[in-house]
Amino acid sequence: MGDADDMCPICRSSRYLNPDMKFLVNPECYHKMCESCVDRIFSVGPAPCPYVGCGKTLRKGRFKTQVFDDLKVEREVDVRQRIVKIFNRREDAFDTEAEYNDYLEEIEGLIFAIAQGSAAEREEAEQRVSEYEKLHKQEIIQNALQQKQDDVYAEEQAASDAEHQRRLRLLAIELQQQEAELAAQQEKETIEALEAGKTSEQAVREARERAQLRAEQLRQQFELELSRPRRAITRKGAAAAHASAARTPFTPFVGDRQMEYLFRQAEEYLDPTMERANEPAVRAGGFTAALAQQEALKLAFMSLEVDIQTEKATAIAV
Amino acid sequence: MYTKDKKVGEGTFAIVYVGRQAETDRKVAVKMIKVNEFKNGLDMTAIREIKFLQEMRHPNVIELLDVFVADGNINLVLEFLPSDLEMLIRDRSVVFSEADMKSWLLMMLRGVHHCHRNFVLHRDLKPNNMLLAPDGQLKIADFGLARAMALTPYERMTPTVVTRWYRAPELLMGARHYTGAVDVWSLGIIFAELMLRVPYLAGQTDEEQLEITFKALGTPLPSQWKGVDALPEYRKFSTPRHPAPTRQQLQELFSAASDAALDLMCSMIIMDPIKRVTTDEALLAAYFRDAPAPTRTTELPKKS
Amino acid sequence: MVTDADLYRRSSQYQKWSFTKDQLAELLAKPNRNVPPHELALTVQEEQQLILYYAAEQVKSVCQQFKLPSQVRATAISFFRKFYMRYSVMEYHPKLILPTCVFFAAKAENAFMSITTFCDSLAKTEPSQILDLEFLLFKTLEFTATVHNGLRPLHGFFLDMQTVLDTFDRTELCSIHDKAKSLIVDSFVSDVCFLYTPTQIALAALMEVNELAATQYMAQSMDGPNTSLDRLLTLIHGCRQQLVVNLPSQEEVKGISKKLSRYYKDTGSEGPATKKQRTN
Repeated sequence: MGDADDMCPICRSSRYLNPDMKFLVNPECYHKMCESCVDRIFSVGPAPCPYVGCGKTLRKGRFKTQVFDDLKVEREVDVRQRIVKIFNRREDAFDTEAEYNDYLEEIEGLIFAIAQGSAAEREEAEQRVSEYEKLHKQEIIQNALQQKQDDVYAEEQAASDAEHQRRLRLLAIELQQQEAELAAQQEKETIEALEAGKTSEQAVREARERAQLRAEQLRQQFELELSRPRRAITRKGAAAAHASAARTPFTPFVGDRQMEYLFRQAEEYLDPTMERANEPAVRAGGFTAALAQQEALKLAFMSLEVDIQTEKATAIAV
Repeated sequence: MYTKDKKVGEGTFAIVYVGRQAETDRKVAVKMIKVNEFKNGLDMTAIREIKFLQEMRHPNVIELLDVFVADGNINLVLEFLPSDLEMLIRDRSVVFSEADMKSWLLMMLRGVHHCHRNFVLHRDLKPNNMLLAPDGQLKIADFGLARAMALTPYERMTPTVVTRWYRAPELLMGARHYTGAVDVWSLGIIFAELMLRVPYLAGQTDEEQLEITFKALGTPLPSQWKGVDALPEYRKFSTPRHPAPTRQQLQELFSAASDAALDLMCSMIIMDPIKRVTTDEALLAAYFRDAPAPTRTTELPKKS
Repeated sequence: MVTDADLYRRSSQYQKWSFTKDQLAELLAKPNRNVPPHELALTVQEEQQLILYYAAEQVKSVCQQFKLPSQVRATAISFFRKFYMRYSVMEYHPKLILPTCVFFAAKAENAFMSITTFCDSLAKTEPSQILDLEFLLFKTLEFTATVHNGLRPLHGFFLDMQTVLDTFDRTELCSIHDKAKSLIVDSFVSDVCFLYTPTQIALAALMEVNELAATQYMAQSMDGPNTSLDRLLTLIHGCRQQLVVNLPSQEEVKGISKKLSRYYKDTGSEGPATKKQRTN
């Protein structure tokens, strides 16, 4: 680090006097100064950079902590962050890996030009970037949204996994405890049996059987816990965004429906065939006169409009 | 015309091969109906299957491409569908999103709706019969138990239809006059299984099935389901009386289900068949209109 | 939109078994023409008469014998007639094809009977004879076994007439309904099942039983912006004309049957049971 970190070049305060001194840089020119200087100089509004010979108009909001020692790296990282936000097409949007790699190279080229190129190269690159941004505004927003969904999804998935692991661990501990208790129980029962006059073999056997039964039950419980279906994480957001992209309106029947009928069903009819419909066992199965009658009515009109003589006249003779 | 390349399955009535249509080299499934020494000639299951498949054409109902005879056996040529919903459900490495389940249920309902429009009851809906095409389309298959709806109470039907776990309570209790509601029940149970990834009501015997159904969904009372006490098998299972689950309890069991999903599922497994929703009503449920939209068929998960 | 009418258009009945009058006439005459010429061969006319008789009387008697519902009888007649649109009576004798059609129709309509029960009550019929032909029948039907008849549509109209017509009381309508029912099943002997739809046949039957009621009903319920009542009435009247068929007399049938027996004897086929099935 060296002395550059111990004294602010603008106000010359030293770290010795201000141990908490923090330095900030502005991506416009990457000239570093302490936090109090930034406060003092830029709080009122944008002002020129105080470094001699710089003069660039700086804004308070754009000051940030320097992450990398090497300013060159810091600059490039900033540029990269900015460019990648704009050129955010996802790998699966490309048909071949080759195309995807070309895309990545293009981005690298732009970043290099802006971060380390000459003034002319930088200007040309910035021009291309702003053109691209204008052209692909919608797509950029979509991709950003998609990325966010993926991040959320991954987070939830990780949380679910962690939760599951935690549950398993707890269960294992519980199992251990219960097995210890069982062993103790088994011993106790053996002694009781012996005191009650049973032979030692009998006592041991009986106690062991009981213990095995209890152990089996415990294991089954454990298995049941394990196999319980975990809550499925749904990609709700992602699915919704995807769905809203140009789709035909949703129709559950897809046209497989008769919309209007030429009849109107009455409440009741004189219908000798339906005498048995009132029997409880018939009704219990779901059969009702009303339903059967509706079906008969539909069938009545079903083939009314089909004119075979006309329609088949154009068919090839058999 | 057709070649049988490899045997892919065998049931009580038929052997299924994967094969090719000679002229087009198209992959097909050839279902050879076993000549069961059926003393009464052509097997009823085969007749039913052929009879009904010939009448329907719908993207969610399997297509019968051809029928031919070889060595005295009837062979049905069907579309080749390599996987089914049961395979997917059991494959724990495949994760189902809500949108995926919605898409499958939608296709199943559309298929069954089409059958019901044609006044046909399928009577054997189960994940095993929901075949999946490579492009993601779901197709209902196996019409071996189907029949035309009974339009008068004089037509008695056999209650021993539908694979046990997916059989409606009225069938379990021996009803001989039933409706499309039995198919809707099956779909409701399949929906539950999609969410749970294990069969919802899995009895080992017919008797146990009714017990399990009542335990899970409550013992129906004659006051709620008119005439239920007149069904042959009701008495045996009317006691002990199990209470119906609360909404809370169901939400706990179906922990990943949205409110709309639970609403729909419940409406499809209402005990009284008259109160159960029809396919029309189910298709109009809010569940299908709410977000997320059903996954596009091409993007549905496939077996790993 | 897939309307109900579109649904009907997807049925095998519409797709494979519905024709114009001309197409039907051609189909009915073809089998006879395919039989090699022989002095004892039946003419097209004779063949049609025989088929008609069997379709009407024999099917009825067999169905009555087993107390089979009208649905089965209608389907059996349909199968029978379709069989002889492909084969001639000189290739397969109706004596055996007929019970085969009834047996198979019973299966198709969920009124299954065991073959032994069936043959026990039929004179000189062995189970193997029927079962041998069953497959050929199904194949000739192009593996379609669903026959839509006008009975259920008729029932629907019967119900609807109760609300739409106020000039007829319910008991009158009941009587109209019953009469129309038998007309519809019998109509399968005629050509209407190949030329018109079940709805239209039901209306034609109503028209035949009580023209006033039918016309009033149609005027009330089928005259709207989307339907042309006039066109419909013309169609229904056309159907009605062909609803009832004149059956040949007993003597005529006897004569033709004798001729057919002589044909079989003369051409050396020992009987329909040994006739080789044409597979593929």
